[in-house]
Amino acid sequence: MSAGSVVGIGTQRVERAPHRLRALGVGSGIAVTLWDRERRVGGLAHVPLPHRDRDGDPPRHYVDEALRLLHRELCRHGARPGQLEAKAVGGASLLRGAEPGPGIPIGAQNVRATFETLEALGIPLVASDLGGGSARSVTLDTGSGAVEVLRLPDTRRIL
Amino acid sequence: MTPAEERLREVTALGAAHGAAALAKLFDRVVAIDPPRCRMVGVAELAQSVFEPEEWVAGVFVHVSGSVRGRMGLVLSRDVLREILEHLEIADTGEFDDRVRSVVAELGNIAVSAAAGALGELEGGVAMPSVPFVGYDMAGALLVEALHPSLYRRPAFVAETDLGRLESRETDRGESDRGESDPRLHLRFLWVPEA
Repeated sequence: MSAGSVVGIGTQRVERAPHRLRALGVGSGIAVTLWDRERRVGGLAHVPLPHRDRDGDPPRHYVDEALRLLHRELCRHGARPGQLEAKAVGGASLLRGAEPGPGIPIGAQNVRATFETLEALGIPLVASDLGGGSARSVTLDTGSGAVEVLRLPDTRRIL
Repeated sequence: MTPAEERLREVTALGAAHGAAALAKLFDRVVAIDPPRCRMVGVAELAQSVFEPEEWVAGVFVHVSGSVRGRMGLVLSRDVLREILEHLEIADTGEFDDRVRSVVAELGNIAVSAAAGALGELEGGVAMPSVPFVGYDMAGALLVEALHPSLYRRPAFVAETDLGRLESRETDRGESDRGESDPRLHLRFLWVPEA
């Protein structure tokens, strides 16, 4: 299998097996994978923000809109709406010192938006690695549905 | 690049030169400062075009308020941080512990405050940096959070410069046995002006 396709921040991608989808350096943003076990098709969204705060940006920038878009795209690729399962990684807070902004940290907002949107879509969240203080890289194997989470310097975990 | 962006590129480079000079003053044997090279990239592309997304970096960032507003930062690679710690005779355990965080915050604050102050003067106003916030992790994640996700669609100005080698204290006694390894410390200043 190839090294896979990198899914940059604010983007998403759907692939059939065998393929690997990778989100590198996920911090306060969130990487959500949706996968159909029987059809062996999966998608990964790497999303920076919880909800739309201005017009003009593509929906893949916002958790609620990005997950609906990913869900639709997977169904277009043969996934069955009731058979998808989700895994989510990210929502961290990396910085110490002055608060980067007022209110709830953006990572926590992204986690909440992910829970709410998956529930609205009726997609079970079967595994997650959320919050904390370190960045992660995420790799989805669309054949097995396994999600590998890497933290520096070299801590790996399979979801 | 528009004329306004071209001007921002120039003032960012000059601000970075002041920041690098402030950092150089902290060390007694910095021998050379190259003029900063500055370019404009989207914040979302920073991690791909200036850094590697999984590159392990240390960063110091401030909010700049006043008549000039935005986010400013200084990013150090693992190797540069190691060199600085060695110069300061601080044991590098590989962990970003409180001692290392304190060093990065202090050095970064001096450099970034100098850069922000110069940038404010060049723009004919006042730039007031906040208390710094510090992080040490994958560049992709750190930059997006530090520059705030809602700013990530905006252009960032990246000024890169090199400081001459931080010579070891043994050099003063003529006992240095340093090899011919990279003699320069690479500094990367970031400026993301608010609209």
